[in-house]
Amino acid sequence: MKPETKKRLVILGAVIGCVLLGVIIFYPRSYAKTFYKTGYCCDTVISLTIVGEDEAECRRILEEAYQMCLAFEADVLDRFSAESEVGRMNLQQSRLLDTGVASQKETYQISATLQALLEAGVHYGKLTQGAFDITIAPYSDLWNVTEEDFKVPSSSQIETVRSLVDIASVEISEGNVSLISRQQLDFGGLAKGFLCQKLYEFFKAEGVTKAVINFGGNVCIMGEGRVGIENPFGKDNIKTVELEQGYVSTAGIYERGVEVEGVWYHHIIDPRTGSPATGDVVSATVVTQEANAGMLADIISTTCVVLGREAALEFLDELWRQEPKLEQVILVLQDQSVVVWEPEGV
Amino acid sequence: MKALRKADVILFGALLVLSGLLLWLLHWYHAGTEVKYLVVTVEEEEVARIPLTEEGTYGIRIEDTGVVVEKYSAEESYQNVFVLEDGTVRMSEAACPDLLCVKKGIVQELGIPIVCLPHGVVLLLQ
Repeated sequence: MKPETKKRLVILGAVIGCVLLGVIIFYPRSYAKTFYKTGYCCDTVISLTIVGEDEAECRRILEEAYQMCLAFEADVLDRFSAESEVGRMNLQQSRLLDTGVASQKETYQISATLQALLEAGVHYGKLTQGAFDITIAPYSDLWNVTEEDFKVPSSSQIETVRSLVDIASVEISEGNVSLISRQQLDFGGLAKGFLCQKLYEFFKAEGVTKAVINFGGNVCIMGEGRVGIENPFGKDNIKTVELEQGYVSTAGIYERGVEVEGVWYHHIIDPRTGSPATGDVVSATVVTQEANAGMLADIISTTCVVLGREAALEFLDELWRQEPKLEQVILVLQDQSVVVWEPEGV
Repeated sequence: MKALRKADVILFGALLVLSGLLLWLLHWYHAGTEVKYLVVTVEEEEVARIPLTEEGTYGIRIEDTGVVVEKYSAEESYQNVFVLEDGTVRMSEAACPDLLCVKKGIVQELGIPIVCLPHGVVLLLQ
């Protein structure tokens, strides 16, 4: 062999060796994969997606997250179960005789979780001047909003319970809540957003860096993600929101409802009238990147539908002055136009 | 002395580029953040996992003996029919009264489901 050829072979060998070494060094030991879990909670479908490397660990986190939601519903929120805190309280309230005296109040002991929910409910109830109201339960029952067989009550039925739907009368003190006799609570307007936020906190504590939580119309994004906003009038998307982290919550009157004698009744009841909201907003999507605004996003999306465009835009400006948390609110109107609210000066 | 010829340099270069490409490809393929599959679950059970590259129209048939997810055939009847194309999914037909899943339209984002509550069907991009 010529020395020249030998030299070339050595160099070739060295280069191949270097490349191999490089591949071995840079070849990742494990890869991030996507894991998911679907299930039912609070009358809606939830889907949890997380990205991680350790399969067993990811599956454990997903299972625990799901069980946390179920436990929360069963122990605190489920208003149709005598086992839950809210259910028990509502049952006791329903057994009371109507005293007809508004000042007559019943006091109940409450857990720290329920206290937090009640405080949020009362706070936003007052802020929205009753357009969002957790004492809406009698109306929810009359219209049977959570069930498949939606009912249309008579106006006298609505009149009978009107005095009970009054967030201003709810009093909270440390560990206690006082309600008017027969008044009942329904956290359907904020529970999904609250749980989205709880899931976010749980994932964060578990060290998850990328996740997508879908809880009914409430989406929570961790570590960059996209959410398409549905067009209520077609099958395309109105736009796609991209965010680093945060919540995208949509409420709409186009999904659930029933047509009775030519009139379309939907499931978002205006607590101020006791009937489905009559505003011009067909769907409202709230976008926020604040980690603690999941519940707020849920509340405000529903509130915007109840208020209608003009009042909603005014309210959003006022809310921004008090709590600058929302980044964007997208309203789709009856005439198919789209109005986007963004905070002033941002 | 001429230990290295031009052809050798080109060979080394090509080798380097090729291995780099291979690494990058492997990495891209395994990375978890890209949507790669459509997962079909019925009553919380995964019944099918279809690569997004296998575009087409699919039918979901729910029978007592189990769930069948197959390429759509006009002779069969299905509870739900969905279309997979361009990395997006949409429910095109559903044998249910509310048709919420059909109204949902096109979805192309990771973790955002299309839900058919009456049949317990969830389509999820993963």
